[in-house]
Amino acid sequence: MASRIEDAALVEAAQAGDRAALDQLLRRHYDRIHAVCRRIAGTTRDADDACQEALIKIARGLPRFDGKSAFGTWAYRIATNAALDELRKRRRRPLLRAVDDDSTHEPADPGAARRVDAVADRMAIDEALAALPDDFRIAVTLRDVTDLDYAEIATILDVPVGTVKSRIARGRAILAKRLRIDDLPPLPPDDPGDVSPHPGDDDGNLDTDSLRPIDPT
Amino acid sequence: MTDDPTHDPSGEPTEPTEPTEPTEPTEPTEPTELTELTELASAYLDGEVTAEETARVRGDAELLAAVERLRVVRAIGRDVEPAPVSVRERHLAAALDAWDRLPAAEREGTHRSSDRLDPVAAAGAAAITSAPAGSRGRARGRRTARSNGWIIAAAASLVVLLAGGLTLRSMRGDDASDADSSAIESADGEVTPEQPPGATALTEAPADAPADAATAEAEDGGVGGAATDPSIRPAPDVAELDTGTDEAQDAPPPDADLEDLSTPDQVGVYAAGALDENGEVSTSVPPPAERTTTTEEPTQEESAADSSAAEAPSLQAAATELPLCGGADYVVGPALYKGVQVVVAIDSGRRIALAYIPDSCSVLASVALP
Repeated sequence: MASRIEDAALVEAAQAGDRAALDQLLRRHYDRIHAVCRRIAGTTRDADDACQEALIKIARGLPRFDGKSAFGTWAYRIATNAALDELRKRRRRPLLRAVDDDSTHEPADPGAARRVDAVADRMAIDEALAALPDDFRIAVTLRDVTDLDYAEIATILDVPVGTVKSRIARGRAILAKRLRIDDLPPLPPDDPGDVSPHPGDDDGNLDTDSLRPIDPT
Repeated sequence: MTDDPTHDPSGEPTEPTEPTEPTEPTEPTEPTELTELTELASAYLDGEVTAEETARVRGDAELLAAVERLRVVRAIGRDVEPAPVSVRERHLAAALDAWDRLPAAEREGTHRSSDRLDPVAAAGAAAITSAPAGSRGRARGRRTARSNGWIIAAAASLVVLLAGGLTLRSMRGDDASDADSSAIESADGEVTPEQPPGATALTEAPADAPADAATAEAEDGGVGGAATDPSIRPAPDVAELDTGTDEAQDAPPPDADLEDLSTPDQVGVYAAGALDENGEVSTSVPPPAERTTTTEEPTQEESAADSSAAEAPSLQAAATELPLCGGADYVVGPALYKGVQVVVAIDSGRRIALAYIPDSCSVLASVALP
């Protein structure tokens, strides 16, 4: 909430012509905007193009931003659309695609003691994300990268909240399957009370201590 | 069961199908019961469940295991490599440049420097857009041009500050600074007694300066304060300033006299030096609207800077030629902020001090006046 208040103040200042406020506002959201573009557009070059396009659109559109939604929601919507535009451009270009060899999704070292080592291969993650249907990938990205709640994501995507819920769940399930989360070696059991229903309770890093054996069923 | 009508799983294979074309991703599906449990676990992970659903998850080991599995997925998805700093700064500069180019009517309270920056940016863009845009097409070429235009503008600011630094020396009143001032005047060729020497250096240029040399000058940093106003000829380049006389050759680096600031608080203290006893901005600073285009005679107050001004900023002569950015309405003077040559200025309405790069107007520090 404090963050949104700060955003609102910066938006107001920027709309009054304060360039420094705009600079600060963009910097506050840059990493997430870039991450949205990276996850949706896929490749680094396309993501960079999308990110720059999104920032320019945000800067140009800020005078018309009415503040009905949070700045972040508005900005991430622009980033999402910019990334999708880049994606469409790329798909119109002749594309050399690597043959999708399922073995490439194998963890680099299935016997590694820590799961994080087995799934940290960014290439495999990128491939798994790229293979997701766009609708799923966008919903998962908006949830996991930007921390928007389901209602905000529904607003951005202009779909019902239930659809958002479904897309996120199914997208994650597909990713889990493709990243062989089930196949990873179990960690020693730890405090069973560690499960938190709140997204803000972890910092987004893999907490291997909180992982438990997974029922293969 | 999903309520997404566009993703009806009926008739789809259970196992996810790898798309042969990315434009037509095949919808992977799961059995209904599994989907429902996955949705519940996923929503639980996101805190988007009711109390009843929370209780159900916590009482079901299988669901908890699913939550943990999805938690790993979420952590992986969040782990996005940040953009390199250079890319980030390029992106931000392009966005700010786009904002600067908005018509003033679209920006309430817009600062005046944006219009002045256009010729510089345009010169940079003109220099670069003529090059091949590369395999990424014209759009990418335009973006590159915009970004590089900003860099060129920043380089041009060095020239402005160089002249400002030399001018500062001339304000100190010792023999050496007089020599420096003479050096500038010699380089410029024509100085009227009424004109502040620093202003002359920034606004006048050799009569034989090529009118179409904007591109070349932008590339070698020769676009100075003059380029910020199309009505003013280009300023002399660095070589001219440094080699005008022997004294100039012996002069210290142009930023040697600049106040070295490393924190926003120091910027505030430095800027506060321009305030009078009542905490008001000195009225000796000329109106901002005329600063970049006029070479007004300094007032008696400006000429009679007291000794304390050696530390506090009393740099009106130089300040008159420095741009106003970020809502500032009074220029205090040039300085170094974390090693970068900046302009320190005051937004008297909000009573804040700003440190910014003059040509790009990139604000590096903003702090309330002490």
